[in-house]
Order: sequence, then C-alpha cells, then structure tokens
Amino acid sequence: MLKLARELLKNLLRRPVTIEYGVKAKPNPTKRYRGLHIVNPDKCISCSLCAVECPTGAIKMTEITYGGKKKKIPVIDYGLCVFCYHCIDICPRKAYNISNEIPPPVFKRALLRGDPREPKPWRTEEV
Amino acid sequence: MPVIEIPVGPQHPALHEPILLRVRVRGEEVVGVDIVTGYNHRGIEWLAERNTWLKTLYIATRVCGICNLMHATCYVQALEKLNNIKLPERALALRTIAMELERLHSHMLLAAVMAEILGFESLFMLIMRDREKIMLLKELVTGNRVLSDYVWPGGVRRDIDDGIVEKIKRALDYIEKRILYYRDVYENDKLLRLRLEDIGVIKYNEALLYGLVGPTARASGVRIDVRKDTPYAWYDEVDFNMVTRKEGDCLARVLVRLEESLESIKIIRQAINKLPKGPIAALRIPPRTFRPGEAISRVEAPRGELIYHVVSRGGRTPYRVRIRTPSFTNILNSVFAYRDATLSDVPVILASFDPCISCMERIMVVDERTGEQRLEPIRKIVRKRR
Ligand code: SF4
Ligand code: SF4
Repeated sequence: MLKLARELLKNLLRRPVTIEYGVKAKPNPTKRYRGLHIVNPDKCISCSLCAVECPTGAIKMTEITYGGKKKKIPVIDYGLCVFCYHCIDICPRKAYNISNEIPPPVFKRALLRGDPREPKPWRTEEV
Repeated sequence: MPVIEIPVGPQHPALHEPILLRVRVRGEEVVGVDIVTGYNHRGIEWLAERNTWLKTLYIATRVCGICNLMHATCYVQALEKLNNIKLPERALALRTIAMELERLHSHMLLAAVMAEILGFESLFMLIMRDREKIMLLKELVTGNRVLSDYVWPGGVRRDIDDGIVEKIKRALDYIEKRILYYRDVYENDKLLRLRLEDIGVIKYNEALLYGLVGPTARASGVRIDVRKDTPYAWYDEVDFNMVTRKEGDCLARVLVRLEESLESIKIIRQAINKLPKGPIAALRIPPRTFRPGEAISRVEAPRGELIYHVVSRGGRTPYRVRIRTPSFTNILNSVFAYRDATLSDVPVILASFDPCISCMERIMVVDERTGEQRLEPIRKIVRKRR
C-alpha cells in the first residue's frame, strides 16, 4: 500500500498521459500506422481489383479526366474504410500512396473522401 | 426471508459490455444466477458464408476487438491446412511475437478492469498507462494498436527491422518490471486480498467437468494450454512454462494472468533473439479459392482455447465457418461459481473470467418440458416460429 502511495505522489507531478482528442491535440501515431491512403492515378491501371476485394466496399471506381484522357480510378470513402490495407497489399502496380494520418473529426461524412483530384482530400472544414 | 431476483446488466454489469445476470438473492446471499446473452449478436458465421474467403478474414478479425489477431490467425491456419501451404519460419516467428503482444495487453487489461471493479481506480489508471506501451509495440509490429489485420493465408503482411526489435526489447524490460510490481500489489495488498481471496472458488474437478478453458481452468490447477498441447506457429521453438495455480479463486485467476504475462515476455524475447531471416510470406498474394475439404484449427487465445472449423466445397466462399470461442464455455458454464457469494461479489466473479461478450453470442435453447438444452442457429428458430 505504501509503495503504491509513493507511485501516486510521483504521478501528481507528471503531465497527463491522455490527450484531448479533437479539441487540443491530435493523436500522434508512429510511422508504421495504417492511416489515410490515396491512389496515384499515374500508376493505376484501372484493374478494379481493389474495389472488388475491399471488405467493406469503401472503394468506388470513378471516371475522371486525367492528363486529357478519360480514366477510371478508385475513390475511397474513408467513412466506410476500416484501414485494413488489403487494397494496398494486393494492388498489382503498388499504386497507392500511404500515410500515417488519422481520419480527422468532421461534421459531414462526405468530406472524408480519398479523391486524388482534390489537393489534400482529407482536408477538413475549419471548425 | 423471500428470494428476490435482481437483474445485473444488461448495461455494463461489470465490464463495459452487454450481458444480463439474473441474480436471485436471499438477503445478501446469492442463491442462483442465470446468464442471459444475445444483446450483441451480429451473425458472424452467417456473414462468413456469404462473403469471399478473404473478406471473411476481415470479418473474423472483427469478432472480438481484444483478441482479433487470435481469431485471424486461427481462421488463416485453417485455410492454410485446406490448401496445404507451408509457411516460412520468419512468418511463424512474427506471428508468435504479435500474438504474445496481444496476450500481454489482454491480460493487463483484465488486471486493470479488475482493479476498477474493486473500486481501486488509481491502480486501474496505472496499469492502463503501462498497457499503452504494449499497444504502441503492437502498432509498430502490425500497423494498428487494436485491429491488427496482420496475417493472411501464406504468412504475415509486414516485416520488422532492427529498429523495431530494439524498441521491443527496451519496452519489454520496462513492462516486465511493472508487471512484477503489479503482481506484488495484487499479492500483498490487504484490501485487494479481502475482495478476491476465496471468492468464486472453482475446484479442479468442477473445472474439468464443465469444460472450462484457458487461464480460468489453469487457475484451478487444470493443465490445459493449446500452445503446449498442440504447438502451432512457433511455440515448439520457444521455451516457456504453463502457469497453473491451485486455489481456483478470483485472486488466482488474476495472478495466473499476470504470471502468464511474464511468460509472454519470455516468449517474445526468445523469438526476437533468434528471429530467422528470410521471406515473410510463402506467396506474394493469398489464393482466392481453397480446395474442398474441412479443417479445424486451434489457437490459445488470451481467454482460452479458440477453435475454427472451416468447411470448403471449393468455390469463392466458405461453405461453413464455425467459431467456438473460449468465453462461451467459460461464462455460460460457470454459474456455479457464484454460490455462497454476496451480491457485491457478483461483478467481481464475472470479471475474473475475463468475459468477452462479443465472443459468446450464441443461442442456447432450453426445452422447458424436458429440461434439455441444445444450441441452435437463429435461422432454425425463425423457421419454427413462422
Ligand atoms: S488494384 Fe491498383 S491498379 Fe488496380 S484499380 Fe486498384 S489501385 Fe488501380
Ligand atoms: S484499407 Fe481496406 S477497407 Fe479501406 S479501402 Fe482499402 S481495402 Fe477497403
């Protein structure tokens, strides 16, 4: 009991371990964290394998005009995505760019889209 | 004195999970407990029959958050048996490391939750703080702190390098010291002992008779551990002890888990010290179809023996995936442990089994006329009622 009391006194002087998520701080995941990912239209060959195999059906093949040509590329709905990275690991061309960013807190789910046409697709509204 | 029935739950009876205990009490004393489940049924096995082999892997991973890697590994092992895939050594070693990390954080969680239920909030906070170190290691190894999505048929999906090995070693040194300290607290703190000792005793022959598994059975002296009985992954290469205790009370169940955490640390240390070189998967991408046949795979999850029975008739989807989780036997078959307890002990006893509610949502049908009990799938019951 005494031992624990010493531990507790020491903790009084420490900073809190927890963070105020979404209010003051963002979690700080390691480099290896599976975060937001997005397709690189230069590498993608529109084979649709990722869209077919995605376990949650978060990937939709969408037609875009890229470099003057019409092309189908996968657009990800991060609201559905579970970040299993199956799409990344099975892609025959390794066409995905990955990051360790956590999906930000947003008011509208439609904002959570991995669309390479937008400059930073996971940009959030200023709240 | 009349016997009255008090519902404990279904909202957060002990852990923050939905389960209902109908406790019949005479005064303070418990005379009977009925366990009612079904608040969390998600039809996982039904889903598995309708999704492709690989999608089912991600569904199996999500049966339970805490032991998700165990579920995934168990399912994947069954698939590997079907297609007769031989894994490279390094994949097996990495699986073992990841699984032991999972056991470590699961056992620490129970020690923490136990302290919280006993009203010892500061101990809860301390253990949870140290547990976060293991979650970080799990994130480094698998890519996420909770849902690992680490294994697939043929091997594992990420490799580790020397930097991560170094980090694991350093963190384990710290965690080992802390677990020894928490064991000391649980063993020697007078208040904790008063709440845990000789409460919810399960004797050796009862544990055998009711088919309890995992640390719950080991705390009653039953020597049962899939890692020793039928070694899978890399468990035949590493040296560890099966922890058992004789007392069979709540304290023994907590201490068995804390001592097992020390064994887990030992296993991880050995595995990273002699980590074999080579590829991490036998195939670049997993197969999409599996041969007809059936396979049974067993894994020692943190709560006990986990069994997957996978039946294949070829084709793109599994014909049947039967999941038998350890909590299912441990919770439903242990109502006798509540005898002679007082009402305030009920949550403590329930928590000492480390229940995982999402793992045990099966349906038990009791025939009122004959008293016969049997398990039935939902579909059959729905058909009967039409
Ligand atoms: S699997 Fe790769 S190449 Fe095929 S559509 Fe998806 S991103 Fe493009
Ligand atoms: S990470 Fe998984 S859930 Fe998310 S888009 Fe890729 S395959 Fe689908």
